[in-house]
Amino acid sequence: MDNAELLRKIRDDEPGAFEAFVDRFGDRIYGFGVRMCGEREDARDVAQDTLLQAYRSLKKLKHPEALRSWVFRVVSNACLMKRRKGNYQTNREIPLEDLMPGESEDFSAAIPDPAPGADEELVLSETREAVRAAIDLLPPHYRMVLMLRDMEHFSTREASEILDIPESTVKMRLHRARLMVRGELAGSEAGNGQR
Amino acid sequence: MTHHDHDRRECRSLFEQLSEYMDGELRESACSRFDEHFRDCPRCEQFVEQMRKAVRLVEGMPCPKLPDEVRRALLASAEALDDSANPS
Ligand SMILES: [Zn+2]
Repeated sequence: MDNAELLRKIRDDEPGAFEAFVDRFGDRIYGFGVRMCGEREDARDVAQDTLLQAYRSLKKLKHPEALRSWVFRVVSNACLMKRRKGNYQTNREIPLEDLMPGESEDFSAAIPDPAPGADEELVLSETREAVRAAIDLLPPHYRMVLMLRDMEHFSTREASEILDIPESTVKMRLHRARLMVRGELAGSEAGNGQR
Repeated sequence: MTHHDHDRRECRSLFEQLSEYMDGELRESACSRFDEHFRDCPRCEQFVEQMRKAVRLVEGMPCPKLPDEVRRALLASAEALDDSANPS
């Protein structure tokens, strides 16, 4: 079933429409919540609230192609609300200078790259642990952009609409997020002290 | 002479647009500026390669599953909503 068909079922209040909706978006929404909120408890709340709220508001949605964007708009807002209740962090932008690697850093050193077949299970799970930790260290407003662009594969334009920020801001935050993740994975000096 | 003393300012200025370059969001002329620079600057080329790897690793992260009890709770609350909306 594609999103157009799913949206039609939702609008028509067909039996099983909500279940199909949860099956389509449940894991992605929960995963987004886990990475944004950190706490599994909060992620559960976010997933539960978001899926119900998004579902109810979907009946008003005109274009099926906007379905996924709409759902992520709702979950992004829910994560931001959670954050405001907890530790408030400003959306300060990190100067690019602070993320530039030092003159002496050697970039030929390999970042672990699990090429198909080349790595054992253990290497893969250690690599994933390192990537997860690097993502966790990002300031939340950078993490959110990185997730929308590099994990959910929204375009720059879609991400800007989901977050209600200019496309230039999406690009700037994405670039800084990637620089910081690279720095962490490569054990770089750049970007330390920016947390 | 093994060391090519190229302009560090070019490294600095390209550094800012690396992600756009990787994402193919730059005009052709800006792209060829990168490609030209990489011919002279292995450091920048290696750096982009590391950036690409980092992005591939992020892309390859598995998605946590929605816990079963959350799924059940959701379906139950949706049913309760339906019942209150359409009392029989
Ligand atoms: Zn260079």
